[in-house]
Amino acid sequence: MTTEPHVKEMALRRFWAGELAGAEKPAIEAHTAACARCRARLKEMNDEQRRFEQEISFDRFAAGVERAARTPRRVPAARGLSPSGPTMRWFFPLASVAAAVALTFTFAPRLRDGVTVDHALGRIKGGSGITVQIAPAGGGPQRTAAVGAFETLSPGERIRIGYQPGMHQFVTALSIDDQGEITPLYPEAGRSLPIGRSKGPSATRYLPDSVEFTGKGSERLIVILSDQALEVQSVKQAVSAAFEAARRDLTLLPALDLPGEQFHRTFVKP
Amino acid sequence: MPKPTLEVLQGGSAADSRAALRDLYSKFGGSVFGRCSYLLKDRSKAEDAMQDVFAKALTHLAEFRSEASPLTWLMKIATHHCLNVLRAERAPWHQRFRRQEKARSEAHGGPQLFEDREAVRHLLSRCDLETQAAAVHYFVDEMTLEEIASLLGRSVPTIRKRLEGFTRLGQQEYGAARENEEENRS
Repeated sequence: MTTEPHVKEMALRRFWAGELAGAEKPAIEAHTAACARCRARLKEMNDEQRRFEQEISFDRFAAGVERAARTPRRVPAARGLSPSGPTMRWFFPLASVAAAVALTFTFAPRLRDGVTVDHALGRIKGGSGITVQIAPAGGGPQRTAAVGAFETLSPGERIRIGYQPGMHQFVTALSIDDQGEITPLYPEAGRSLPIGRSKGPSATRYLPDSVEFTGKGSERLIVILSDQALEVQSVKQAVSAAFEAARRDLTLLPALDLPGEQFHRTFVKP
Repeated sequence: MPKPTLEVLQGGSAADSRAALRDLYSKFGGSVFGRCSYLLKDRSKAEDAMQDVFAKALTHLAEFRSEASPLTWLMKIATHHCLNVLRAERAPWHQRFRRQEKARSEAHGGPQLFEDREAVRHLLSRCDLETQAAAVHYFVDEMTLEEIASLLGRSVPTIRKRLEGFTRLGQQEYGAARENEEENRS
């Protein structure tokens, strides 16, 4: 038992994080040795960190932070918003269902309230790239798929593919699962989709429909921005060759032997 | 045939950046994520906010490392960022206001501490941003007036004034809630 005042929250957190030195450190050590309540709070801090590490792996954390450092999200100033805030909804006609991948048509949930598309995407001005938004089933906040890390999907979650073409003129998107099943998404057949020039090269365009990956295991989304139209069949062959070269290990998939820039995102299906 | 290029992460020394991230993750990840979750009440939004906070630390690494208390710096950034997110979204969480205890209690730890923290969180929507930040650091982080003043770059009297206003508001709300309960009972 101890009659001394308990250690304040921030001081205890700093002690737990190893920040304290000098007289404070031994004082807190002595106090916690005698105080069950403060020991319990230290244990809670340990548990909090352990739960955090279980929920968010280091790879996921690092990918998210690096992405945020590169393209910071902007929180709009509250004063500039109308009470209801701008709302965007997605609505697209029915798309055909491809093997292993369901293309859903739906009112997708709105983007974050009050956040414009560009802000939500945090794209790099002037460059080419992609942004994959993930929308939960039944509405709710969306998130952006991680770069360079597996993104775990919950049941019913759909993705929406945005891209910034830069100076490229064509876009092709397809996916491959860990069994080697390749699904052309945009387009499903024929040649790459031409990119309109009504918007600037760094403006984000969205491919129609939201996509729900069905089945189990992982799925790699590949978006190719190219200067020439690609035959979907040729792209499929290139993906298949890359998959075999990786010994059918999706995590080792090398760059496709195709012209243009390639952008990958990997999802773990629910 | 042109060589295809894959997306790469940019930034200074990749190894240095990774090591710094690993350190941030294991020392402060739980605390910062906990603060974001406490304020935003949404795991996905909390993760986004946490990433933004650590991104700021990563992009200001030298400044961050020179801080006397990196944890305090991170918690300040996290608190401010989340309060801004809440404001921007005009989240309706404040409408679910239910006071359970007085905003400040002599006791701390265990369920009582949790209730106080919830009460503080519920009251935040009624205040300006600076008062919100001061209240979180005072009632949740249990920092002193001097520490908060230093952290937020304000004078002690200013912080005291903000907290007095916050406490008055809590007392008003607590009184109103109690009157409603009594009316409902009768």
